[in-house]
Amino acid sequence: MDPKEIAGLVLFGTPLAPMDPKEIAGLVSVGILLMLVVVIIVLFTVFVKRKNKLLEAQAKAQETFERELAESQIEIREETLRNISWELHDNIGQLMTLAKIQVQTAAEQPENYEEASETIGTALNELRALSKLINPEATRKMSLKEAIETEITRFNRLNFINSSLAIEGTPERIDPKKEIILFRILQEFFSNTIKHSKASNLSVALHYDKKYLQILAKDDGVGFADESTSTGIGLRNMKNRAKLINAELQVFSEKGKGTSLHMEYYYE
Amino acid sequence: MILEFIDTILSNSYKPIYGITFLVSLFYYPRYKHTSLRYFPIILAYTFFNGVLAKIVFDYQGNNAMVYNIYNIIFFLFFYYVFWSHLKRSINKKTVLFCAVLFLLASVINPFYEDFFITSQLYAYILGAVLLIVCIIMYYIELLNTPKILSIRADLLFWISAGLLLFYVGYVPIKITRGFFARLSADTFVNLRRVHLLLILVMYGCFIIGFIWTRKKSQD
Repeated sequence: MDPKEIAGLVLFGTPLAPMDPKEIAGLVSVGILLMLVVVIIVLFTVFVKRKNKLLEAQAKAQETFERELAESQIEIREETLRNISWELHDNIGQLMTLAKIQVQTAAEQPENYEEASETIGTALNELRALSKLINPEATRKMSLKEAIETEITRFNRLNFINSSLAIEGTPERIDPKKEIILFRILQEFFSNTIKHSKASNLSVALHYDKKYLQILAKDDGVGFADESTSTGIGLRNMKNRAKLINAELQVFSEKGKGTSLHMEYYYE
Repeated sequence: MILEFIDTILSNSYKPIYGITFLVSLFYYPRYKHTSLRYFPIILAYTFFNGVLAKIVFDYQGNNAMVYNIYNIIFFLFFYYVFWSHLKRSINKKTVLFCAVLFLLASVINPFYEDFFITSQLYAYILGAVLLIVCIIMYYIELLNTPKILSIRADLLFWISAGLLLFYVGYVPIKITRGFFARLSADTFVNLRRVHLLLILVMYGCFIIGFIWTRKKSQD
């Protein structure tokens, strides 16, 4: 008979035939050792299998993250190019046109030379600011807070929208890759506000808590009621990205009552 | 010859290993002092002194079952507490609580059938051990579903559970065999004693590995 079977019978207290206690003990011992080996093998296999599965999932998540990160970077770059184009056209272009007119009329009114010189000076300053802004070295070193500050300043300078930024707490260092994603989410919100919401005010608040960063952005535009439109697609995109970096994102909007974004990112 | 050699090693190593484990647990104490395992060294010290006490009582009275009966109750309750505070899912927590109550109940009823002062409380012990195995399995299932599985090597409770699991899976059958077949002639069961001592070594070996490999982690 199989030793385990006998051990099993012994366990239930019904030995079939009288057995020498020593023999029983021997069989039980063998049974126990076999059982131990089985337990160890089962534990080992289950844990290793599960571990591999998890590692695989992590690798996949990492891949998705890197892809989204790359995409976000491209989008930020495109947005930057669009901004430069706007700024050149709307701001510096306008100033140069004004300067040109001033110079043209200066033949009759010599005091216009003075004004033209001033206008060109302003244009130069704007040009310098722009050049500094788009220097890749500078943008790469920028923290999330600085990037948002730059964005807000630009909105105000170009009179796109009346915007403000409030910062509470001491800024914490966040993984630059995650900062890029966070920034891109906000940038998408801003560009929706400017393009579609017809809002006149935009306020952004960063609250650096000990454990998390809370971001609130709010506009007073037209808002939207359903998420099935193109805004909805953008929204889904933002939410997916937030999920990738384990941030919690909520967007509230009501027709005519503006839109607000709440995001919480827990430091690692 | 070989068996004698093994016997010598086995019967001389299990007492020192209690002490060694206790010292190792103290040495690495800062790494787990913020977890529910912070009382574990007390249990280890108690195990060690319980052995000494058992010897004294045995020499004095000829029977030391009571010393072990008290020890077992404290030992099992401690581990129910550890798993209760470590498990996350509320149903698992409740199950552990239920296990503890069941074990206490068995410990209260058992003395009516087996004299608490002179006999080992077999039923309560077996129930306690089986319930502890249940707790360990619940803990492992929870562990398998979290990313913690990637660093179980450095998880102290994983090793302690592994030691306890291996010990009790092996020791419950020994206890049953001994209890039902040879209450009085334990010396016929030399093989069982060998396995028993081996199980102790395996269990404490797991504990020591756990202490050495554990890494400090934040309170969970």
